[in-house]
Amino acid sequence: VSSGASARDLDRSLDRLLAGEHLSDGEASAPELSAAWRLRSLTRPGAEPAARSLARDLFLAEADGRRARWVHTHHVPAVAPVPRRKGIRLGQLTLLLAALMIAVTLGVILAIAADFSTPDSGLYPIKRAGESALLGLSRDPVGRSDLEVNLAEERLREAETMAATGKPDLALDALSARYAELRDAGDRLAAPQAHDSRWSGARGRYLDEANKPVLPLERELSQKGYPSWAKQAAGMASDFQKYLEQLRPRLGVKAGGGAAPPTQPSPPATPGATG
Amino acid sequence: MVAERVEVSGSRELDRARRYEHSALARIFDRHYDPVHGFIFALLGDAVAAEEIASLVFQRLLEALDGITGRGAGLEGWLYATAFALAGDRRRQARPDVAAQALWGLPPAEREVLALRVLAGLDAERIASATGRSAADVLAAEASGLRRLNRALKGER
Repeated sequence: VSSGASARDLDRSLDRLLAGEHLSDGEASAPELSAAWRLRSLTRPGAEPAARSLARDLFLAEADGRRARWVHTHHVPAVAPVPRRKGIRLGQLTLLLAALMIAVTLGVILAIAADFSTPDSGLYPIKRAGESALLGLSRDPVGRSDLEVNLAEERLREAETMAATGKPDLALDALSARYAELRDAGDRLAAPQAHDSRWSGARGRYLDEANKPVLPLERELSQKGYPSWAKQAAGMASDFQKYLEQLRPRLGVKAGGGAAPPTQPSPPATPGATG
Repeated sequence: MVAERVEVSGSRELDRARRYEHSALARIFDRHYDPVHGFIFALLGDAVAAEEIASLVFQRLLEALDGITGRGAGLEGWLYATAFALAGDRRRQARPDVAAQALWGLPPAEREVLALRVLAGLDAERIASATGRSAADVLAAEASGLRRLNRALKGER
């Protein structure tokens, strides 16, 4: 312990000596420090500039060579990122198909439910929108008038249902819609066009539907305690009959209900021809 | 004796030197070449040998940089320990000063410790790290070496 402590003391004194600090008398007289001072005082002339420069050049040239090898060793080749695949992946396609199937299923269920709906149902607007879409798709006048006849028939059924369930306002709405469909179909059939057998068939179906009485509806409304609504229904029917009387000649129907042979529309006037 | 794995400063400068960056190595050379050269000259008293050995020390540094880790003796510890080892190989052809001759006459551990402590100015911890000895061994070698050196300089045996 004594030897170790003494060595540490000597080392501290040596520190001060090497740092050029003042030493105590006891330290200055220590023979070990005197020997250290002799060693420290050895001359150290600076290196010759030419020799230093040569050594520096050699050192840095070797370093540059090693640098080149280091860069080569640590070079990481640039890798182009993998391009993202265009189009739809299998997972996305499956998801898309599943969504499509769900949408189609829901659509079919909704359409079926709407088809059976009545004017007092929440799905009824969907039913009417679907019918409008069908009418919009139909470009053929005969086909379209046939479709309108079918819709008019459906409106009459709805009116009777509403009357039976004590909803006279909805019953008259349906009846009004029925007559609107019939008027539109009548005008379409009466428009100038080829009066062929197909047209004649459509005219027959139209007249059958247009001549249907609304007495059952009026009776139902009266029985349910809505005589004024029944009267309104009768008025609407009477108005339509007036329209129908005017339409009959245009459809080639004799007064009294018999159907006359269809008349061909007059050919368009030839430009330049004189009467 | 140079420790197989000398730990030197882990500074950013040393990191750049490990990648052999020109500017970092140029700064290390400019800062340490003259002191290392003077250290070798003091040991050997031969300017030509000092230039050759100093140049060799820096060449060896390039080889050692890869294995150098931070902390411990520092770059200086490695440079002086290596310079001392290389100077020892040339001491028989040299005609050093009396004090240096006396130093070379000491046992190997004592002369290495005294050279690094007194001529290079390294402290005991850095010498211990640079030479692979314990700090206590360094202090003991320092004390016994100085006593033996004093006797040698006084012509005692």
